[in-house]
Amino acid sequence: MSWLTEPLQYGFMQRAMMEVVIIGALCGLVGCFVVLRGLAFVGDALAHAVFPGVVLSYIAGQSIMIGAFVFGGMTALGIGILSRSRRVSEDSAIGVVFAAFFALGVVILSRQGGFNRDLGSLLFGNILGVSMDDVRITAVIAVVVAGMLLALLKEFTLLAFDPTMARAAGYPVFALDVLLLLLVSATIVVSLQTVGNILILALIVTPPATARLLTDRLGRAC
Amino acid sequence: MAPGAIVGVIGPNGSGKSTLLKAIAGVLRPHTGQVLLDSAPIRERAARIAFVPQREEVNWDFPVTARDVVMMGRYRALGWLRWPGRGDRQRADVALERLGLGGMGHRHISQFSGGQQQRIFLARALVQEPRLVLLDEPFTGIDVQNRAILHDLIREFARGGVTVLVATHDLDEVRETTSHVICLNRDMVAFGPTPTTFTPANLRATFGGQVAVFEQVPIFERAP
Repeated sequence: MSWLTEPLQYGFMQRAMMEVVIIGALCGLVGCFVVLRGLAFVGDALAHAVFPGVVLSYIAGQSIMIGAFVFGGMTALGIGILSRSRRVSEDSAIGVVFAAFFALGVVILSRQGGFNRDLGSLLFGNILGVSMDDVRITAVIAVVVAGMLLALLKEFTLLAFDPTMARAAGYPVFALDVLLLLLVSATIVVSLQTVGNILILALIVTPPATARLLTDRLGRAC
Repeated sequence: MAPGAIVGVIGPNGSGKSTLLKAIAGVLRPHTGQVLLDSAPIRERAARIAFVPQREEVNWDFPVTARDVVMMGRYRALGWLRWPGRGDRQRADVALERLGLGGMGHRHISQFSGGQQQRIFLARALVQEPRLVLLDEPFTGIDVQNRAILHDLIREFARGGVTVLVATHDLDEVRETTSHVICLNRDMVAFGPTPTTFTPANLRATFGGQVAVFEQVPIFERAP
């Protein structure tokens, strides 16, 4: 068994392990609502739309999370507002927003030299490069996101199952929608550095989709 | 509309029946005017409005059991950050029992027949302790037994002072069940007590060219 446990004596492996466990659990939890609301495409879009934020914060020499959060929030809000219009369906709204943001990222990137090597780590993540600070930030955000999701489990469930009743019962539907998108963006942003923006969707969608095959109850799927 | 009234909403497809119901429920915002319930804007009374959707509008693959759905009727009364407790679960089970679904609360919603599925949503309306119940096409595709259960419940609501609005295509039901009727055809053609409003003339005005169909139906010969 030593081949399995041996790598874990290294600090970078331990940090990677902690980070992955936190992210895995968080993505699965958030993923339940992503799948139930049919937001898989939104998740993909968010992962791409935070790109300019990542580029900007890299150029500014800051943690990529800061820029990613700003752009994740803007995207969530943009999608929420655009899809309120009845003439633009939600997936069209998403298509418009995320293509525009991704393009913006590419434009900013192309004005800068010497960034190409790190583009790979954005796409596929760099799990072994996780610092203890990263783990701490991830843990804090995971607790906040999971806490809010569980605190509003009732409301989010009702909204996903019967939006008409949610509206009729007087819930602030738009605010809850945007909040859910913000929670999804936060999850994506903290995972970005570790697993990259291509793998995130798999982490978010696969566990709940599998769980749905095993149970008929949301409480157990999460 | 008085408390305890059973109001039928009739009109051809596209006449605005569902739109009217949704505007009353606060799902759609009216262009002009406002909806009042107990002389307060509807938004302030939202918790007491029960909306039973058309069956096609529900996602029956959603991972919830019958009891979970019924419990959703308690959410608003519970308020934010509070969980349904044993009392709420008991209420849900009583409501299910009342609608002939006792002991089936643990089943997934896709495992019920069409009529039973509708009864789950009626049980949800019941636990909400509403002042106003909105039923969108409740008579579509259900059998005699389920129809009888639905009638009982509507009358029970009305006896308890709850106002019930029923949008329907089933004119026999309107004549038999309702106390008032609203005839819509993009505009309000007529509104009033069923015996004086549910007349061939008003139906002709409401349904326009389709009126030939209704003249064949012998229901008008039974007019008092």
